[in-house]
Amino acid sequence: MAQAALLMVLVPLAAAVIAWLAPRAAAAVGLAAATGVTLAVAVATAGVATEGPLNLVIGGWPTGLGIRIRVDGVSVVFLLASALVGLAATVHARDYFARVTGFWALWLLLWAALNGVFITGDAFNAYVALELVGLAAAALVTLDGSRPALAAGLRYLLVSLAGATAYLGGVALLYATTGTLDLAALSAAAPAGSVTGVAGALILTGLMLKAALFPLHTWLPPAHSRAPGPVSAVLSALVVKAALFLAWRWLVVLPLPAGAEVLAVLGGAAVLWGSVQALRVGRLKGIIAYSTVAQMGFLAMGLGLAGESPQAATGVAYLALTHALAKGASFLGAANVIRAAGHDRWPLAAVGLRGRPLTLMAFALAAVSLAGLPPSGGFVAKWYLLQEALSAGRFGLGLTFLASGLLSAAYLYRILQPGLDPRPPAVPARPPSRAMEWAALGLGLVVTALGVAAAWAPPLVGTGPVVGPGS
Amino acid sequence: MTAVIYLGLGLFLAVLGSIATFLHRDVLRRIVALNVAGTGVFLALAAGAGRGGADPVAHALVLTGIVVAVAITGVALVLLARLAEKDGEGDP
Repeated sequence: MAQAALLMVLVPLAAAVIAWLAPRAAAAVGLAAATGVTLAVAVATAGVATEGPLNLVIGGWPTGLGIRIRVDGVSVVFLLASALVGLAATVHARDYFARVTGFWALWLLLWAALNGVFITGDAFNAYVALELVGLAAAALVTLDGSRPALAAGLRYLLVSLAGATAYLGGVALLYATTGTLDLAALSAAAPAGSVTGVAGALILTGLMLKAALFPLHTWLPPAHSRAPGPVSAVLSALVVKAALFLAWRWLVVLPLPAGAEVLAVLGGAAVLWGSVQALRVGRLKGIIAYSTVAQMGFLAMGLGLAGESPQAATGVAYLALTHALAKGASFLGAANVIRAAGHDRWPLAAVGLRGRPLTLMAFALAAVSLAGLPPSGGFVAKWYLLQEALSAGRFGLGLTFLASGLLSAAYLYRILQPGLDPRPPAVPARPPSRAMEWAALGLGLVVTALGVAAAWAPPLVGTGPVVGPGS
Repeated sequence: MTAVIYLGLGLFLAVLGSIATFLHRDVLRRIVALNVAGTGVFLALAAGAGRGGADPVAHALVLTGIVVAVAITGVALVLLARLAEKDGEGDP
């Protein structure tokens, strides 16, 4: 079972090398790797559900020298998001990048690194995997070579380097005081005090920069809206989640109540700021990118609560999964609209959405989940978090959760409403293929199904006595 | 004693580089400043872990960190050069 966790990294990594060496076979290799990753994640999910968290110290070395792989309920939820969005993006990209081969090696490398973040139980391995994510993601942003894309990618890369330096500084402090990098050992060895506080602040600041949490979010809208279609989907659905996942891990490992509080407050500000910008911006992908700023704030507010009960932790994990799926559906849908309309200016580009019921449906299902309406998965996540906020007496948080849903509905209506216009649609030179439309709709259908099949989530996330590496 | 000097020097460089990153708008200066900050962190990491004799784990960490920083700096410089080319051509 634990070996399945290694395959999630090794399969896309090997495929990335093959795709680079044999560009003509790249799309086929990508699809084969996507199948492999999906199967490995399914096996690991079944393993965690039946046997509890998987632990593997590579090479049989003693802990401390060997590096720990750890897959628990929270990892599994993020891995499911990675597998589902990755599969849809791969299917979409086969037609989207029919004439571009540079995408495949970078995307497969990014996928391997993302899965590496989600399975690691080691502070330094997390750093290496996160840097690989940042490097591959920044390169993918610049794929079309236009000036705005190059500038956005460069800015993203520098933010990534700054975040990494802060993170590494924090890890260095902890290693100097405790002599270990294993997260489980750190959890036991880190003393409560000023050194741990400073280290935690450095680590969380670095991760917040990479997760684009307000007010450190300014790099995200240009990078996510200038990237090519399937790349935007992966960046917004998965890449920012990798930093969020690690922030969650560290909040469990180190005693940082102040850190959780700061995340909750900044998260609230991010929800309001991101939503207002999403209501104002005049480009389709700009609306979706600012929605990510707002939704990352929602997730950060959830992290502020997550340490308090298994119910809140379930809510955050479910929110991360449903946001990934809904955001993947939105950005893949946006890629189809932009391909049909030939540009991104909104609402002018809505001519590309008219007469495309599959893509319109994908947007609608994603919007229902992002706004947290039943019967979607987003509703279940919000229900958990709202209950937790109210029972903990955190009425400010509870109100912001509700406001988040209303604001999401308002800015997502800006996308749906022009799509329902009865005037005739555009007749594009290169219309989006059926597979591209179904990739977007598929994610929308899964996120809706998650609302109906919500009962499996609490037992899965709660498989350890503590959510995270400390158990 | 030497370790303490190196530790202090490393922290000084890290703070200096971070401040410079925020103060400068020019991208090339920012890249250099980030590298100074990174070097400071690596120096502090090696010095902080080396107090009880040589520590191979810390050395491995610093080496990996340097490789990551060099790789990112390389890509950043290439992107910067591409942007400069575009500006030179008068491409919007």
